[in-house]
Amino acid sequence: MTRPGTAGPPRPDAPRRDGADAPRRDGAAAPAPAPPSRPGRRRKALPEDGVAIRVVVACAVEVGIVSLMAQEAVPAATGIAALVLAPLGYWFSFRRRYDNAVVVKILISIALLAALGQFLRAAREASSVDQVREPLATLFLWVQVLHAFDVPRRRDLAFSMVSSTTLVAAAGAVALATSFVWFLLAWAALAAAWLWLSARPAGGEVAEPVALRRAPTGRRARRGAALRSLVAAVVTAVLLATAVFMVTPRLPGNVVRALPFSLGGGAATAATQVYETPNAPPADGEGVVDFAPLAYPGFGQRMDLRARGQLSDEIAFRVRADRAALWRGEAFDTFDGTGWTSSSEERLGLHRGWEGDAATVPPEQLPSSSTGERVTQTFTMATDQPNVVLTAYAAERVYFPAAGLVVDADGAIRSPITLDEGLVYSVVSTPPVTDPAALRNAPPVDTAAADVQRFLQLPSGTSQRVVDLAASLATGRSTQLDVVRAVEAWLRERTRYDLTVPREPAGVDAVDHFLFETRRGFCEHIASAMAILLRANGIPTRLVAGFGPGSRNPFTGYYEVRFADAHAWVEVYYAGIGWVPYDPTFGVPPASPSWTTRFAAPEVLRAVGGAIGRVVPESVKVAAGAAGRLVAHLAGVALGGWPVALLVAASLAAGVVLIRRRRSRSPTGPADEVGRAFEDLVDALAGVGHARTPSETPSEFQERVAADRDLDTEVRASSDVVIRTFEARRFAAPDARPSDADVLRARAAAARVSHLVRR
Amino acid sequence: MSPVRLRKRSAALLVGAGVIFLMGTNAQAGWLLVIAALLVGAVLAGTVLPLVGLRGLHVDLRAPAETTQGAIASVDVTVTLRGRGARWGLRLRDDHLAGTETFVDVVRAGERVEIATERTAVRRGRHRTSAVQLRTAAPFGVAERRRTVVADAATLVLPAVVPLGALPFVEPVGTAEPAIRSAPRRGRGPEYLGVREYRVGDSMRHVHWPSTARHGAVMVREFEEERTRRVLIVVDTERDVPSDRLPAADVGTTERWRPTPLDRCCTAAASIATAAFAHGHGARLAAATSDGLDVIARADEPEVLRWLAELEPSGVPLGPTTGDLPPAATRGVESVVLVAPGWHASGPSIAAAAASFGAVVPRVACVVIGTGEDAASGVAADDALHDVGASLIATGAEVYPWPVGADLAAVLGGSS
Repeated sequence: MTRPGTAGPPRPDAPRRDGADAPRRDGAAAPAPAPPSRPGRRRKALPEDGVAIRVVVACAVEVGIVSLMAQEAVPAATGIAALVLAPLGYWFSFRRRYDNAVVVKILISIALLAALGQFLRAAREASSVDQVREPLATLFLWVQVLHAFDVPRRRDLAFSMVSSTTLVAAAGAVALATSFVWFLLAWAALAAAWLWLSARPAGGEVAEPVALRRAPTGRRARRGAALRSLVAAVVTAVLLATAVFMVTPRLPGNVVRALPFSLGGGAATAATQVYETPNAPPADGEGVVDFAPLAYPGFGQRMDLRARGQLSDEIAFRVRADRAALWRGEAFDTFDGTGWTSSSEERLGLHRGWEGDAATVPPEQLPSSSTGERVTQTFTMATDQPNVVLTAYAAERVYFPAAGLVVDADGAIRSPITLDEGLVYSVVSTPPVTDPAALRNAPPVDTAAADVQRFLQLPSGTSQRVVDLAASLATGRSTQLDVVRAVEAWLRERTRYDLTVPREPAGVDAVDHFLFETRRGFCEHIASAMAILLRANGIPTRLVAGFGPGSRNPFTGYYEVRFADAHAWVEVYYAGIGWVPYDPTFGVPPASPSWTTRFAAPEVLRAVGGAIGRVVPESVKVAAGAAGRLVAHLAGVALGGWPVALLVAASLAAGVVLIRRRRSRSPTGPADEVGRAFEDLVDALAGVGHARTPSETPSEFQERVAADRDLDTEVRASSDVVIRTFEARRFAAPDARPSDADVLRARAAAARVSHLVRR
Repeated sequence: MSPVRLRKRSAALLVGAGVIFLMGTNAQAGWLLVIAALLVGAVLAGTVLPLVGLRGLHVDLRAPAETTQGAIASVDVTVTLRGRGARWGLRLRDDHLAGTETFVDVVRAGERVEIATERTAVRRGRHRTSAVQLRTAAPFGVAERRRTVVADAATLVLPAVVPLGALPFVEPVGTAEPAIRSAPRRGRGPEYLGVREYRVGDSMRHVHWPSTARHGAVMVREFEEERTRRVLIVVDTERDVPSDRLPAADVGTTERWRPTPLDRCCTAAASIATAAFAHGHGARLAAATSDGLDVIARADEPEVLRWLAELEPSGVPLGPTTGDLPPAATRGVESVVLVAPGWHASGPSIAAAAASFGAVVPRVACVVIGTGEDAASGVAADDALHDVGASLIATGAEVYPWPVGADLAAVLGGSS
């Protein structure tokens, strides 16, 4: 039999903690079981007897280990060993939770020292920070495994949960794919179970009941009530977590530049002058290389505007960066009417050691003026890519796992190796100045300069109508910036993006055909048209091939760039500033993103909306769209008359506050507990012949009750308590009104009267 | 609705979320932001859900009407959910007889959960409990909501009774008949019972003339038969000490139940009275209360125990109140037993009472209770017990010192 404070001895040989024996009747020292200790009294924690909580913690640690292994953050052998040993440790610790653990602690310490020694040996041999990652993760795993052998108390299990959180976080930091969500869901479910189990009283914290019986009441017991309640709690937690996630700001981070790969010993050192595009189809009869689902033909010696085809939606690579950017691959300066080539043969090798392990771009290749910001990007190849090193413009330093990088005169960086799946590299870029005021004040470009001439080249067959169009767009524009903007705006308004446009007839100038015949085309056409119109106005321009920013995965934090994001845009030269990108097709992502882009809400809502949109019938979508437009219209009207809307909202809020205050102050409201106690009392006494007449005051009623000697003394006294409290609640000054304790006493007294008169 | 109280766990989760958020921001790792959001979401959900975690709950307490101090009493706590859904992780605390907290993992709608507990009645006297405190921190233990609900229970805790053999200060009687009856036997004893009509053989000395004049017939006084030897037990209620001031080692009990000196006085008085009844003696009890001297006579054992259960410190010294005792209280009494705590300052008062009783009854005994401490006088408890005993011996009284931890039955086996 257990008694208050004992909570049941966990095993027969465990010492009794309450000292309770059979009650003695010697009058001297009848021992009593110890009730729960007083708040604030710190007791030594007892070993944790719960099996469920240990299983949950062990599973959470296992999930952490598996998630690390899935991200290949630890050696497989180490992971498997940890997977086997950790549960053994928890089992061992459970079995010996009451035993003296000195020997175990000594053995754990020795093992920890051995693991630390191994880590230090690996660290000494490491030539870069990256090479320490794996030994560090291994050391942490061993610490976790050894810790599992000595977790007798609930507090120790809490440390294990913190460890599992760290393991999962470490895995999440390097996770590339959304599939990591399954690990996270498993861990979250286990963490929630641990929160629930660890919030239950520990051994000895509360009295263990002698018996606990459940019985249905008169009301119909609701089946599945507990399950529904549990589901409601889980849904609430998930919704709140989602809401928090959606409003959590994505701040520009001081991104860690220690890279998740080794820089030691490049895979190849011989620079190649040849572009290699994996999966590219062979050229057709006209010498045109068309688009292939997994190959963009824009990277190479020539970008041909006659190429057609569809690119895949498969992810080409992922970029971790604190902002969106156009991922620049290659630049062209010469247009022959059907395609672009680069006239510069200049190649400059990038060397390491100029700044740490990075291959540094010579300063003369960088913009003359920059914002001073640094944008760090880490690229992870999802499929094989050409040996073009993609960067946000303008790349300053490149951390690449191979030597032999070269940069051409237009800032395009080429690798000696193809960028195979899984290859990771990082780039630090310094964005160019795009401030309109600075651009507008830029001095005129010296078009006679030799290094500018090649960016003003026009094909020999450029039609007069193209030149005339360019001139008409520049009419009345006093600055270069105004001309660029006018051309960009005209292209946006007058041309249409269309991937299905047929190939141009042979011998036709692609830009002329696009501007005056079809006005339909894809980014290469639109960008080429802009470049030619600007060059016709004497503005140095070059065409750039690369990828669009892609879409940011709100969960992984990566920009996921697909083959279909392959893109072309232009860069315009401003004297004294340098090259500034313009994208007449989709626009250039802002250099300084607005605060609204700092939250995941739009991305999450877009993703959810997309998922819903795929399953909802079209008719419903139309109706929802109409409703949305109506709401938007009403919102617009309300915002238009915002003073009135503000006044109405303020009036409503004030009304609600006033009503609430009045209710809280009113003693006669339905929530008046004393009033209810008084009504209960009157009802109870009416049953024993003391019905209260309408004209009778509470005091008169009490006098009549008190005068009835046939009534139990307790009834009369309790009635007095209720009525005095009721009168004080109704008629006393605010500072003399009954306290909460008085109200409770009155309710108890009313309940007592009801009980006594029933008896 | 009282607000919820955040627990340390919420701070730990928020700090963890903050650290992970900073790491995630630094590395631009979205999954870390997800983990941080999960932790914050757990805190928010754990704060919001307890707000409705106690709604619709009703609690009843069932306790015995009477129990004995130090004995284990069964108290049942019943929780009923009259609302919808289920309520999780409930802690119920009430202070009836002894502060007790119980835990119920879930109460479903339309379900009544009866929790049977056993607890030691640590304090003598009348216990009335009006409320039970409900707490829940479910589901995540990050915030706790508390609510006090009405639940009525009353228990009278009687003093503990120690089985005693023959009392040394009361001569054994020759009858085995119990001394307590519902109706007194009429006879020649000193106790005046009433008047009745004259019968042949009645003494003329017993004629009650006022009644005779009133009724027009000869009426005589009627007396109770003197078949018992009476003992008057006088309890010194002048003062007591709070139980928490008594060091556990002195009391010799576990850490929480520490009978006070007045509790032990009542135990001694109850034990002596019970033994007297068992041996055919009558017992009267007297004690000072804040309303004056209270005497209980012609009572059976349960009544005596109830009377003793209600005794509280009165602040009235024993010596001066002896004079307030009505003469009827000592009529027919063979022995007076003073039961008094051995406070050093109370020595003269107890001695005066003993001397006063010694003048009117043949035998005066005094059970002096060890107090465990005597902070008021600065005298060690054992020394105080010795000094009080010595002053009583000087009055000719028999003294039975009962130190803390000693067996009362052994103590009453002989006097000092």
